[in-house]
Amino acid sequence: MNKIFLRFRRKLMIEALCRSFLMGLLIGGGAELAFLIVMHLISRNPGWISIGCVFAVPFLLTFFILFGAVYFPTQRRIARRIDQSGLEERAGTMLEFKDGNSPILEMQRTDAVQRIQSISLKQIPFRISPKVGIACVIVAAMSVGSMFVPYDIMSMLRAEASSLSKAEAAMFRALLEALRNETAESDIADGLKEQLYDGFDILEDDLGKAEGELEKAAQLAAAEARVKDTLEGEISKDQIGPALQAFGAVSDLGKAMEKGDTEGLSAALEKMKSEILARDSQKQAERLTRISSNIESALAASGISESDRLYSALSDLAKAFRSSAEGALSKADVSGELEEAVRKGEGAINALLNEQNEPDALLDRLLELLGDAKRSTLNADFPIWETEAVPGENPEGETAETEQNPSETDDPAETKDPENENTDRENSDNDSEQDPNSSSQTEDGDPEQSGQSSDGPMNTMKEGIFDPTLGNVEYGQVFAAYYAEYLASVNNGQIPEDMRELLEEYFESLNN
Amino acid sequence: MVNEKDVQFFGEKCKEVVAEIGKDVVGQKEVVECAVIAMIAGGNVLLEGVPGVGKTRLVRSMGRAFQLPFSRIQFTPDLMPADVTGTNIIEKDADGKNKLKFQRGPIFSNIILADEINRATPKTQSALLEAMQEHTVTAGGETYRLDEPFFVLATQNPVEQDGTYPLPEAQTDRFMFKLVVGFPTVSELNAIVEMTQATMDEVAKGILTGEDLLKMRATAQEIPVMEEILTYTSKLVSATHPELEASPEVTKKLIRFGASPRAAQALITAAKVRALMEGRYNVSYDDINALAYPVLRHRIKGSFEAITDRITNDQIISRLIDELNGKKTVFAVENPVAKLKKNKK
Repeated sequence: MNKIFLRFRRKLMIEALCRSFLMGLLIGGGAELAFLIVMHLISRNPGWISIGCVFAVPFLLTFFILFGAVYFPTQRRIARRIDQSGLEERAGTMLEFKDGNSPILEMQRTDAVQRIQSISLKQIPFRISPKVGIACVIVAAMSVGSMFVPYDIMSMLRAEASSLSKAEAAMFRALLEALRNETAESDIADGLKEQLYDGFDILEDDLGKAEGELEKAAQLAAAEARVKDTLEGEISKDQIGPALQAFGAVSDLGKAMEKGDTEGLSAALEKMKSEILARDSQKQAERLTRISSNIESALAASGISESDRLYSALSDLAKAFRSSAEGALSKADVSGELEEAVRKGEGAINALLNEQNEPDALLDRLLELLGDAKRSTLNADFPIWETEAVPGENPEGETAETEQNPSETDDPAETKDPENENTDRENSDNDSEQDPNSSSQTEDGDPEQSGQSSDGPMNTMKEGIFDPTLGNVEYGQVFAAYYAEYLASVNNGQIPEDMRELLEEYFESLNN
Repeated sequence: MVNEKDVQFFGEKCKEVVAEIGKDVVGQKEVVECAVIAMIAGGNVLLEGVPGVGKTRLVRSMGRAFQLPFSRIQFTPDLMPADVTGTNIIEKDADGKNKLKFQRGPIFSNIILADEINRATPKTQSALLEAMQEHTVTAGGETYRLDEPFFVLATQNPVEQDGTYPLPEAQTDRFMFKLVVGFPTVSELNAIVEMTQATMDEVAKGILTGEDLLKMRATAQEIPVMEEILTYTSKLVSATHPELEASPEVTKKLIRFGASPRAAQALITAAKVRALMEGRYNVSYDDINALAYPVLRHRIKGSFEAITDRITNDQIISRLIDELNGKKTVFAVENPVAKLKKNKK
């Protein structure tokens, strides 16, 4: 039987090898492709050895299993293939009844052998499915191709899928890089840097998830707020400075402090000292008392904690002035004592100002970067909202009014402190020396009544979004601030669900 | 033991018989071949066709070719079972005493032509059951063996159904083949007309005797059948059963009930004869597939869906064969309702 089938066996063996090989390639290639897809999804480069193993193991398993169990040309398989070439089951029957001895079985065998011998090898063509071949080529091409695709392609695709245009994505990447670089180069505490970096990471995630210009601008606005929260805690001069400016006697000191101007501060203290020393003892005592009272009142009004070092330095200065005032009252020469107090105060305050100048400068730079990005996102062609058009909410307007009616401003400390009632007149004299541009000062000198502290949404914007002293605000900025508020309210659950769609449509219509 | 001579004899005689019957029956080659296969295999045949297509002539011609006694029973509604099988009659013996004697009916012959079998009542139709399966007749408590070879060749008209009694399943199952005798082509019709102008009598010569036929049957029984082909046959018959889970979807959809195990037996027996007739010493898939139609077409009952969609049993069988061979076929016959809707659109 083997002899009869021998010539077919060779051909079918080659066919079996080819089919097993192709199926092995298909399965191995498929496994490798799946592996590479997973690696691309998790953005991980598996290395050539891993790829090779993932291909080789399924390939070899498939090859040997299929060759041994499915395609290997056993006698029965050979007989079946021969029968399929038109022998009408002669070969199969012959094989099955090979041990039979009946005459009809012998006749059957003779007949079958004759017919098998008349069959040429060409009548048994290679049976390799073109579909398998095509599938192999496709899988191989995809596998090889995917090996050369960068493994971070998914991050790029995700960026694309997050509705960011290429230009936007580039802009945001540049923004985040700039923010991180600015922070890294600044000379602030490492803890603060970490907080800022965390905030930038949040911003990156939020920008990736944000859909539409509005949400992106809102996320930038939220980032501005985070940066402010982080850095403003370190900059007490920005609260104390304006508070001091509200009091005529220490207004220059406040201005220099707010600007972080150490020279200005020295000059202001020197001027203060000269003015005091130029007076007689009684007036020296009064002046020193007023200055120390003003400083203490400003510190109280600033809302800064007593543990703040700048607060302490100013508080010490006030105490020193008050001590000198007591000396002056007793007709003693306080010039030395005053000189010493001013020198100490100047040294301490200037050192602290220098410390606070760095985060302040960084805050300005970061806010500038975020503001620019927000404007770009919201399109620079937005109309400019002239804030003068909104009466009562325009700090500049109030400034103008103050300038139009320059009046003597009373020291609030005096108003509140009955002990200082008798010094009103002199205050008026002194107040006339104040800078007429101290716009935040009200008629009665109460900082709570000033435009800076006005309540309501604009207050939030003022602090978070725009500088009221600029006089006008870009519509886009105002819009972003309101939209950020809306998103925050949605997150806090303050807006009923049935209203959200309506509000969303409202913002959409505004943006369009 | 069968020898080469027997095989040679088988082949030669088969060809001669087919050729001889062909002298009386113009065309219908497939029907003739199948009838001869059934005769050799020992199966009964149900011939279905409209009147005048040569059913009775075929049977008569076969009787002549096989040189066997031939009885024709014309089935009518008033035909009684005793008219078929025979009955006990009172007869006086030599002593003058009355005794019962069995008077054999027309069924005691080798070839029975049951003409228009569906016109008789079920009671009379059932009289054939025992004879067809066991080749015996029981009357008055006594069983009489029929002469071998014994065949029943029944005819029925598919058109005139008024006053007929459809054959019960038990009856149809006893027919090895159901052969559909179609209307002849124009050229065949010309030949028929021309031939019958000379004489209406059959002209087929006797080729075989009953003994030869039994010998040929024994020869065919020796033909080997591969295990795979047996399995294929069983699968094909099982595939006609909608109640089986493994049955294909087409069966569940189009068949109400399937073929009995007799169908598988008939397929293998007939396939052996066909193989030898074709000069082969083994049964092939082609034999099974070719004989599946005459063996199964009267054994399966189409579902309501098949009837409404006008899907014939032959189409269902064709679909089953394709399913078993991994092919997909679509019925050529379109659902008339769907067709109507399509036309309206």
